[in-house]
Amino acid sequence: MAIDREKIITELSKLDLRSDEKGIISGFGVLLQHLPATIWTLFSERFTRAVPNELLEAAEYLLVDAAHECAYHTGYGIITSEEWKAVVEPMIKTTEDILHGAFAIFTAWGWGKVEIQELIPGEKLVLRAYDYYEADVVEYGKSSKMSAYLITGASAAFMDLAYGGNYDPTGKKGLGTFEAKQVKGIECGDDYGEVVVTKI
Amino acid sequence: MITKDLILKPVFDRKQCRQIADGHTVVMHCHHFATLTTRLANECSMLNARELLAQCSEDVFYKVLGDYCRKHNVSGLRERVEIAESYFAESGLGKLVVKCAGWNTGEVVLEHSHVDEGWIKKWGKSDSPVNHIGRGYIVAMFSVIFDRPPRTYAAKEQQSIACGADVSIITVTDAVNL
Repeated sequence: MAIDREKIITELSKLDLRSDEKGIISGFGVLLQHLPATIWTLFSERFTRAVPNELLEAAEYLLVDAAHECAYHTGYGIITSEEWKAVVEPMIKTTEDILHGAFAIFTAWGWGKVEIQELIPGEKLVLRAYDYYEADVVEYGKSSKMSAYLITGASAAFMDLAYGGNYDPTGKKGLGTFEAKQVKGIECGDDYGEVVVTKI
Repeated sequence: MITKDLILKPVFDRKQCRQIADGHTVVMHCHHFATLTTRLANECSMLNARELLAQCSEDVFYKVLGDYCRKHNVSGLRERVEIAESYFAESGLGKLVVKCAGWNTGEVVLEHSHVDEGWIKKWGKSDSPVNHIGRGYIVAMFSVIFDRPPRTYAAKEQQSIACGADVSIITVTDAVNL
């Protein structure tokens, strides 16, 4: 692997995206905001805790799906950006390098301290998260419910981008060629979070 | 004249790999995420998820803005308004202008809005207002400005950029009046 993960994290974590005079942050082909992480985790937790047990899976699917679609578009913006071309692209030799690079940026942006644990090109990804803001919902004890909806959806999106064919801005093709499931969670008492992504 | 500068630049914590701004973990997300979450809230009327999202926003920004004012000794009414307007813009939520603010009433204009403009970019115009995150921010801001607890205020979008208006206009009143 030619990817220098530490260099990518160091360089991209310093990215200083500022709002313009309209209070709007533009970058990577999308509009961005820089909000307290708790706004997303609080909504996810209240939303999933509010539904009856028989609807929990459906509620979680909706949260993962939102993250999946978001990361598909933003991920494409990342891997076609000037910052990517300057820092990551010179290190890339294979499609798998793109994934390692993308997850290094994922880490630099504070989405989660993640690393690829296993990768079968075009088929399967196992991603580990050693720290992630979504685990902060539990401060004592272990939850019976996993909460890494963003990491789960984004993992599938990055596999879509790597192996799902050309990027489709409408999301009708390319998006949803992989599905992801969280199998371990710091919020559940595990040492790390883990997501398994497989081809549909 | 701005009387107090906002200090909000995120710093990367290399150990945890998190972006921290003024003691709070912050995270960059795009308009797809904000608008998909908003649409999810719109569609889950069974849970009254629009209000759920607005209340999450209120609770989070009540803490963040309140912490900021305490930590940086922002005590005056005008200073608090300016800090809240600046925070909204710095975080990429748009350009918020407080037209007036009183103990029981207020008017806020959003000249630009991440959620509204993101919605239009993604789906086109909406039939109804969509800025639940913004409403939550505004009532939190009023609670912080006047040192009152969360759920004191209610906000209503009278007109909305997402629905085709040039600016969003939000009125604020005591929650008990609605």
